[in-house]
Amino acid sequence: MTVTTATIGDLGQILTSGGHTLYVFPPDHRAAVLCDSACQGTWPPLTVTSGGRVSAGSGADPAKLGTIARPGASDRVVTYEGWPLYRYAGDVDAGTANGQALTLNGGPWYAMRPSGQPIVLNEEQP
Amino acid sequence: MTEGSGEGSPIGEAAYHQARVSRRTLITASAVGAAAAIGAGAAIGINALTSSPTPIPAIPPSEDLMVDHGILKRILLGYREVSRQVTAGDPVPIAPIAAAAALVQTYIESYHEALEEAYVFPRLQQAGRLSGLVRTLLIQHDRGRHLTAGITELTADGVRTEVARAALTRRVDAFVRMYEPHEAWEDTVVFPAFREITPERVFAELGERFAEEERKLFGAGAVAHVVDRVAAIEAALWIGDLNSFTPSVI
Repeated sequence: MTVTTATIGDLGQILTSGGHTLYVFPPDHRAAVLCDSACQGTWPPLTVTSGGRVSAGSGADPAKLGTIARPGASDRVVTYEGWPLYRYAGDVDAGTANGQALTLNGGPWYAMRPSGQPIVLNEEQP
Repeated sequence: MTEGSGEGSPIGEAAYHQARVSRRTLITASAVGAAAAIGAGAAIGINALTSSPTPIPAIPPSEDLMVDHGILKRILLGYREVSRQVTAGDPVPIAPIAAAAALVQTYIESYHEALEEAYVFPRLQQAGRLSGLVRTLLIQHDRGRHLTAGITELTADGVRTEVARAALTRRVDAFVRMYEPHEAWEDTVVFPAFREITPERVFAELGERFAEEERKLFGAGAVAHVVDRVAAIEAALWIGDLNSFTPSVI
């Protein structure tokens, strides 16, 4: 699995995987995967089998990639600059970012710059 | 590397028996209350409900989701009344609209739709069933969330201008227009197919899991609490009396 970048809509260059926008959930605080159970139906985490490899594609910084334990599962969630990464079920087609700035499942969701900065409306770190 | 399915590990026996939860309690309590209200003629029914030593099985997941649809339907009735009042030039009922939008976001969009996206739609997709319909439903979930965000933003600003009033009715009308057929298709096509492709034991386990998720997110008696909130919204919009919907003899 590769985490790469793409230019999507008005957001500019953001992290993607398989053509799908990747999101972060500020309540995770770069320390945990708080979206679990049914939440992961709407926001499926990007996961890797334990010991599996994650690679950085064009524009993504390999030094910022990592993994974090996924509660109740043997696989691990891919992180970028410590943030667990998720996709959005509402991005039915590749190349969309419909989940950007949605408040859902207990908090807001943001796409992420290759720098590791979530794209919040006021461009401040959450 | 794999994409998360949202289903996690199989439900263990401990979790299966631990999940003694709110919907079943609510339905049981409601059934007892309703039977009591009927009078002495229902005494046999009351005894049967209260003295049964057999644990009452979990509400089937499809029935669980349909209860949520009933809640959504009542919110749609509220939205329709909001649209009627605003279009008629009445003051915008800010508080009930904001309350309805908040309920939609926290209960329908963050919980009910998440259940569908985690446990119902993936099963249908894996079984090669209703793929076009599931795609449409996923798109509609997303559109609904954006409409709700817009309604929330407008009410937070007070809907003070004619432009804002028009924008509010446009969003509310679009929400009602989309979700009426949306939930009708789910009830009549999606849930029956979901039931058909799901083995009996898994279906029962999903009922327990839905109840457990509800308890975890909202605490015991969640549905009763949500229905109370809907009733308060209806009362604020003057549509809280079911009898007022009964037509005169024609």
